[in-house]
Amino acid sequence: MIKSNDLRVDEYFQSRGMQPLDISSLGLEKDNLKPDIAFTDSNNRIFVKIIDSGPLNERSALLDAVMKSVDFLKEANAAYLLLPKLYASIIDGKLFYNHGVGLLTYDKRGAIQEIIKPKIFSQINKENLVKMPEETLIEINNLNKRIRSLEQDFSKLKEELDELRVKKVNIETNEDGPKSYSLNAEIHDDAPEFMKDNPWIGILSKRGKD
Amino acid sequence: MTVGIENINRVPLRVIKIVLDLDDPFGPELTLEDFIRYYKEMPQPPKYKIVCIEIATCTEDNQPVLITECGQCDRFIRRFDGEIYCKGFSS
Repeated sequence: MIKSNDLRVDEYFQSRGMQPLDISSLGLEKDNLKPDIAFTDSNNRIFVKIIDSGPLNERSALLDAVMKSVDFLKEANAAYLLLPKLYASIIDGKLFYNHGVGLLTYDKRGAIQEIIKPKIFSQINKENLVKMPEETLIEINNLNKRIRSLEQDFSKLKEELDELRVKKVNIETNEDGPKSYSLNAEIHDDAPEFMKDNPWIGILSKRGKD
Repeated sequence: MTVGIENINRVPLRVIKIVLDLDDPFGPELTLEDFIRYYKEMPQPPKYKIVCIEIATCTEDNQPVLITECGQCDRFIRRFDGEIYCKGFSS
């Protein structure tokens, strides 16, 4: 039976350009977020959960390890689960792939193999977050209030404008129908022939007077 | 000198559900489909228990093997999306 201490996990990760991290210096408060071993490649923090190759005494032991490795992504950019090769045949690797957790296996000789690559999550570094000054927060609140009151005024004005438009249409349209124009217009004797008895002359002479 | 190229075989898994009669040890073990066909109902606990057996065909000798047996083989790589990925060898 291979124990996790016998595995050369350090060698595996260091051969890929990663450096081990001191877990106690990571400031992890919750136990379930603490990995068995952690590494960094200067940009990303990688947590690894190791399962020994002993018998699975509890039915939920394997499931528990999987859930913990998913939890690691709250504090790390990538997470791996390292388990015996035999267990990799019990669990479908798609489960890990869908959750972005990488899967490593080791055989009887302790040789480690990566069978599912993890997703690298870009996390916000909490230390780099700039705290907003109190005055700025108050100013933002005031601006929010002003925007809300302006929006209310705007909606009121819009309603009034719509009402006015409706009233204007009512005034323009008479209940009896459209306005009747007098066809009578003064036409001089020396006017051209086409102007005599022409109804359009009356209509056109009214233009601009209404 | 022969140079071989390593390739990856993808073998589909087959899951067989077998119904066990816990009250009658001499009762026949039926697949779930056969049980439903004969008894016209689903097996109900605690009398019956359904056992899932996952098997695949070994690419080396074409024999059926349990997936847990497959996991002990040196050629085994991973189980992914209902398939077994294992190393093959073609010259």
